[in-house]
Amino acid sequence: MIDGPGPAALPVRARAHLVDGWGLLTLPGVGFLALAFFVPLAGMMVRSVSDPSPANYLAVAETPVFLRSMLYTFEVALLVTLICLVLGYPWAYLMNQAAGRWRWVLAAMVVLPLWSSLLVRTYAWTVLLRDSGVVNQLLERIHLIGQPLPLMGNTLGVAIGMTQLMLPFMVLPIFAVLRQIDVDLLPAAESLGARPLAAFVRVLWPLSLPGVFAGCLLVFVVSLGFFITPALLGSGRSPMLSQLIVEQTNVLFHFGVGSALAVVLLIVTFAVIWLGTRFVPWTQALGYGESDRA
Amino acid sequence: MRRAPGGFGGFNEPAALTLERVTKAYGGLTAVDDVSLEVRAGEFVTLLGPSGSGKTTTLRIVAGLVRADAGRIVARGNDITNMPAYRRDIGIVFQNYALFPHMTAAQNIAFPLKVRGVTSTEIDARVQAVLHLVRLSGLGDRFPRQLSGGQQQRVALARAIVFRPWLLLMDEPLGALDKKLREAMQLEIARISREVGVTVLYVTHDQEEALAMSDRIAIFRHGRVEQVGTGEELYEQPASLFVGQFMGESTVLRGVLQTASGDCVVAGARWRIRVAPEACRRVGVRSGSRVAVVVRPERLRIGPAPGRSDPGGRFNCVSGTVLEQMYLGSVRKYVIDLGDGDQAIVRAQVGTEPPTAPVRGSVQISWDLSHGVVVADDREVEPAVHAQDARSAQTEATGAGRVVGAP
Amino acid sequence: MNRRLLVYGLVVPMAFFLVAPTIIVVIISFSSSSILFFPPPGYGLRWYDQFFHVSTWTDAAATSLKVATGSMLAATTLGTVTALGLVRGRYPARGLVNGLMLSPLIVPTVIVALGMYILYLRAHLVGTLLALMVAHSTLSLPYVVINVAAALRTMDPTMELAAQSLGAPPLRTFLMVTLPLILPSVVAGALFAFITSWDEVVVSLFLSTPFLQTLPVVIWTQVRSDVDPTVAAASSLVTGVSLLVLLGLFSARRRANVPG
Repeated sequence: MIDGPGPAALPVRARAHLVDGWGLLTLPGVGFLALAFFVPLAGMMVRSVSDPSPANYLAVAETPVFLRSMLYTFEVALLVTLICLVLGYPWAYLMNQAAGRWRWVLAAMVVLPLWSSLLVRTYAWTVLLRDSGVVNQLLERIHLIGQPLPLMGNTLGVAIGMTQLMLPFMVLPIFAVLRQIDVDLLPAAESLGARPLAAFVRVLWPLSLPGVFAGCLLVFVVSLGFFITPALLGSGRSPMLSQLIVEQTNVLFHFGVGSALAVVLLIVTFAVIWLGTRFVPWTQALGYGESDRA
Repeated sequence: MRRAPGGFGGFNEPAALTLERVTKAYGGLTAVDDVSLEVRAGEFVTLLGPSGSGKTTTLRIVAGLVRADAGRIVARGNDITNMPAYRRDIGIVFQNYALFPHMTAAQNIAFPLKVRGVTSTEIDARVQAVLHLVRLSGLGDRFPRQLSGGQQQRVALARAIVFRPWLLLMDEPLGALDKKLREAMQLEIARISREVGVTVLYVTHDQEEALAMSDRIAIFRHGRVEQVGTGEELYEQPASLFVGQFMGESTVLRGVLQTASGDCVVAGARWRIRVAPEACRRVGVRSGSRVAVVVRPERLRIGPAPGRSDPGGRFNCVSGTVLEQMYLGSVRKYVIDLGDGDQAIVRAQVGTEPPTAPVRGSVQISWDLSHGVVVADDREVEPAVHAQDARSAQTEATGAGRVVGAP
Repeated sequence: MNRRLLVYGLVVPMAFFLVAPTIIVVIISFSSSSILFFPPPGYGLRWYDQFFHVSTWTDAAATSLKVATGSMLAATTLGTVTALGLVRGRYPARGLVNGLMLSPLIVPTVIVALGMYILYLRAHLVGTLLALMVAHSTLSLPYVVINVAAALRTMDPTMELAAQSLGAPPLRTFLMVTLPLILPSVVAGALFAFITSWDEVVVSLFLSTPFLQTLPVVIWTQVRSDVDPTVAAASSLVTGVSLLVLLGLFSARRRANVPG
């Protein structure tokens, strides 16, 4: 067997196909999405430049209402992100410190609201925050105020509503990263002489940054495109971009301009996502290094 | 061969399997390189080799789970190279058993019969029969997770033979078991396959396992078959240095072959040893080429060549220092340093040992030159280190000591 | 000590913040008054009675059920098949295709709604059950794909090889071996799809007409016109169904985590 026949010409099989039998199974799904999702998006983009013309984008860039709305949208998204971070980080921290059942309870409280319809939760906030709403009723009854506080129909209402909805998206990524951090690091730092606050700032915080970043990115991006909550809890006078789009199309029937605004929102969303993923590896940030999240 | 009267009753006529120049490459790596092999009906053939040598890939190609890039698989005269796996009627026992967790042991075993449309009464009968064969009667209603490793093994085996395949493939099935269980299962598998009379292709990296169970063994290395033969052929007449080192222990003496004036001699740095003329004419070795002489431990004797009773000069003799001596119950094993990193291994039956062979003592080793096998020297095969040189180990220690302590 | 402070200073108010609004709505739904007093002056089932007897509500509920069930079935079947192809198949541009399948999750719903609206307007499909089902299926598809693909990836691929070696052709292998093993995740995906459709507002808003509305759409209009607490009853029912489905999902997920 040492000196076998030399390498003769063997019948070599044809090159492996690009797509095999299993691969073909993706076709129905991809095809369906192409038709039901991408075609509508494309159609909208076409509409934005054809109804009546690409001048729509000029209108978008020049009309003060539109510009103000875009700025406001960014402001609100940023505000909500910050509030979620301030409230969500400690929650994630406690979840990480908690054992067994308490961890589940904390997680459930944050995740469960995700499962009641977002419209219902926003409606609930209107019930609480309106002038004749529960909060104002309570405050007046105990004579803390004489007149109802404007708790909705403004940025405050929007912020409150959106924060409640966005919290899970901040808490879960941070928790996922905290979970992976070696549990001995903080005690080690303290044994080396660091006071608790210093240990946190110098050890835990930097290590949890990927999760923080992922959470912030997630909350920010989703907040940009939000409609229901700003529409119900915000004001018509300072609309977010999504409200503007709905107004232009459903109320004023300016499909061209509405589409242009939608395209702008789409581009901005993708730009933010692209920028964000430049800085952080997503899979690590969302904790996919290990098995399930909480 | 081991064709059985079929205790299992009415078997498909077991037939031959032929692999013709099968090749498979993954990217730049050739996993199976021009492999040809013939397996006779009823034979138990083992594919043996280190990890990554291509034996498992070859097995999977035979199974139809992997498509070869080139070559043919011929079964019972039919070319099955392009036949899909589910039509090949070949039983496979996987390394991790691959038992269906959502089915009981009996349902697992019944699966191939169900798929073939066998009636349920006959299914029950055959499942019970095969459970009895693998000694798991009564455990049919357990789920895989309720069974021990050895029991899962046997369910996997039962499932693979219940539909009377003409060929049974086994991919390192005993790897996950502990030593005692493994040895017991080796006997079981050999017994069952003999009773059933099925042709078996077995993959393992454990040469003792291969020797214990097989009719013939094919040694794989880097995707090629180095040698095929019975255990005895491979052990006594290895065709290459790799085979010599892989199968059991050996003493390797490297040198240059010289065939001047009809004599065959291998010249090393510190010795010249003679080899039998037949050994000299082996394929691949020529005068002047670098060769290695392989001698098995039980063929070496400690002691000088029986000079006076060896007029024909049938014995070789080299000298060295004893490094280690081990009492192994039935044999005494010696590791001897021959200088230049070469080591000799000698196994002597207890009761026939030499009178004096103390550690660090000088000895001579001799052997009948017909027991030296000549193979081409292969620089890739590292000389096995059987024992540390006690003296050099000591020098290192004292040397270190001298550095630390003050002179 | 530090932790105690955090717990009481933060967790308790936040827990309240997260859960109280929905609970208050449920309480109000049982109020006997037609004004949104809290706490209610009295209790009764008046608003639930209203809900089940006003055609706007019952029609919307029926529509929601039909659309949710239909899109759940469509998305689950399509999603499972697609996941099989994505995980086990060979095809070009893997990363791109996988990303594309998840894109409905990334694009803001308003934009999706607008695009669909424009298209369906042209095809005269606005206000049809079909349009709603297709739209909701599109939104739910990624959830099914994610769930089923995850199950397929963690499943031992040797199972399928073993089944094939034992004589089962690809379809039988799938039905007898693969499907039973991934079933919990398929069910989870189906429940996700149901919930997504059941709670969906924005796209439904665009695609509804006064003659065909889903429950969330009716809630939306009623909320903005500030009518009676029937909205609260409707909201509570919607939430109730969501929670039931969530429980179902929980047990399906639990079963998926049992080692196969």
